[in-house]
Amino acid sequence: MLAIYIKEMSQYFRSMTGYIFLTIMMLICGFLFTTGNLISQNPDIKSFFLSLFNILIFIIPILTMRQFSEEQKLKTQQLLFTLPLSIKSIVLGKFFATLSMIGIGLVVTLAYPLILAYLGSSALLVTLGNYLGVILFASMVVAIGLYISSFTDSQVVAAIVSYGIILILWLTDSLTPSITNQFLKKTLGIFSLKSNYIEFTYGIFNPAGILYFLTLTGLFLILTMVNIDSRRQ
Amino acid sequence: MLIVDHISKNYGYLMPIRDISFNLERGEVMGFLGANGAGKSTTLNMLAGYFPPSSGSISFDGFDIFKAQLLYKQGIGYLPEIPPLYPDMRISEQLTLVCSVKGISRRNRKEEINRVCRMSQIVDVKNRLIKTMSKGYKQRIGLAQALIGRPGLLILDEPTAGLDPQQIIDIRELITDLGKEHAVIISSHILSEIASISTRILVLNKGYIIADQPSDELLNTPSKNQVLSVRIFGDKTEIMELISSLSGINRVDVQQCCEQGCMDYNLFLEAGADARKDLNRILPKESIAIMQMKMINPTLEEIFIDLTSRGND
Repeated sequence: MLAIYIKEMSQYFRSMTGYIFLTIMMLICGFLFTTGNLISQNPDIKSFFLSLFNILIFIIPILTMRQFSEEQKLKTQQLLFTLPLSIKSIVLGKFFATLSMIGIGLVVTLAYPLILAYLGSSALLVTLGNYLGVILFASMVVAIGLYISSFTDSQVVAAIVSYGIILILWLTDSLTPSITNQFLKKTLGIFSLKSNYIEFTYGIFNPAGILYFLTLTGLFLILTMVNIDSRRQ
Repeated sequence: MLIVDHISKNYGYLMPIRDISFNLERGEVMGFLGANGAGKSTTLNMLAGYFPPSSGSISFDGFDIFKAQLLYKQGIGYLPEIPPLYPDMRISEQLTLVCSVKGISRRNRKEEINRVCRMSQIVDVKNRLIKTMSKGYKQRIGLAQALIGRPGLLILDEPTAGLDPQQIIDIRELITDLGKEHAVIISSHILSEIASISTRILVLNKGYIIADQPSDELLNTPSKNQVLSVRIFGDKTEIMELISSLSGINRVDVQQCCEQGCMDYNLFLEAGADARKDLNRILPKESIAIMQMKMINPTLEEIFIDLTSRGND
């Protein structure tokens, strides 16, 4: 797994993908913090993380779209699958490398709560809750992106379908109020991305939310492994 | 030793490989022949572990491809038809990746990379980006990659494609050398290449093995219609009269030759006929000298066409 992790990390920085992702993430984060907290003199870090949630949905597929699609297109999957590597180690290597890229982007944002603390507003638990929420949420989006990219050799198709699936989860909240069937309403509520995420922004470590993101992450990683294995048959 | 035991591959209604079995020892170079669509690449991909067979089993050095997949793959070096390379990587980075996956310690990696680069003749370019390399170089990078970790079984699909004539000779020599210690399977469309490198030839047709013989044996297989080439010194009309008195000869072609007073006679024999003894008996009696005589063995191309056409029948 380590070999794949190192390969993926170095490939992000060898191609423009890593730089593009980090540039977009830092520019947007800087803009959100400056306008949402500094200019508007808002000491609440929660608003920054709520906006970051919306932004991550759209920029994470930049990282995941190439993962398996490019391997298929370049035929390099033939190398990976004939080397002494398990499918699990290939998928996890790619997963942790993508997550690490997001982590690098998040490290920069650590400056924002420090700035707010310096200016007089410090809420350690809220900040920790937000970071935990973002990491769990990003893990899930990465797992979905990897799963989609394992289906196609086109990076564009992988990105568009990933956006589609994440948007469906994201829009579940908007649909819920207009549904009259209580069972369906409750079921959609369980799968709602935003309602499971929102508690983290208040610094609440809700086990249901943690379980929701971990389960979906695990599920999509397993589906990725199963899909790759079945496509090899 | 590689043991391939009754493997088949089916994709629903399509069955490109049907019940193939063979063994391969270290020290053997097996040439893999077959027309397009015969199932060569499918078989090689299964042997390399790219995808599993639908039925049957494959094992190498006692490691089963299903039960001990990683140990099986550890012993294999595979060069597919299109070398799987990352264009954004430098050659040394690509080889380092393979070294790390194959469990070569950091301390020994540099030495191992230098070894395979020397063998594949890419030492002088190993720090260049793969995307800038020509097809021939990419082929050699793929070969270097397959050689990492001294795998016991080397599977090479069209290893000389895209190489210049000198490089082809060098790579053939390298494969012959490797064949002394490793088990090598080589697939190529150039039949003369297979004939010159392989110690054993396996011919596939429509998913079945239709021939599996030592190269010498296969190349000396008499064809259905044998040709006896005889260079004879003497009067052509008299010789033709004598030859036509013999039985078992379908047709005679006569050609000029470089030796003065001689002609080359190609005698097309009937199946199972051998006119050599009769010629030796009747020609010297008339004071006609036989300067040279040899049975013309069919080329590998002819054998291949003969075998595959029999399979089609």
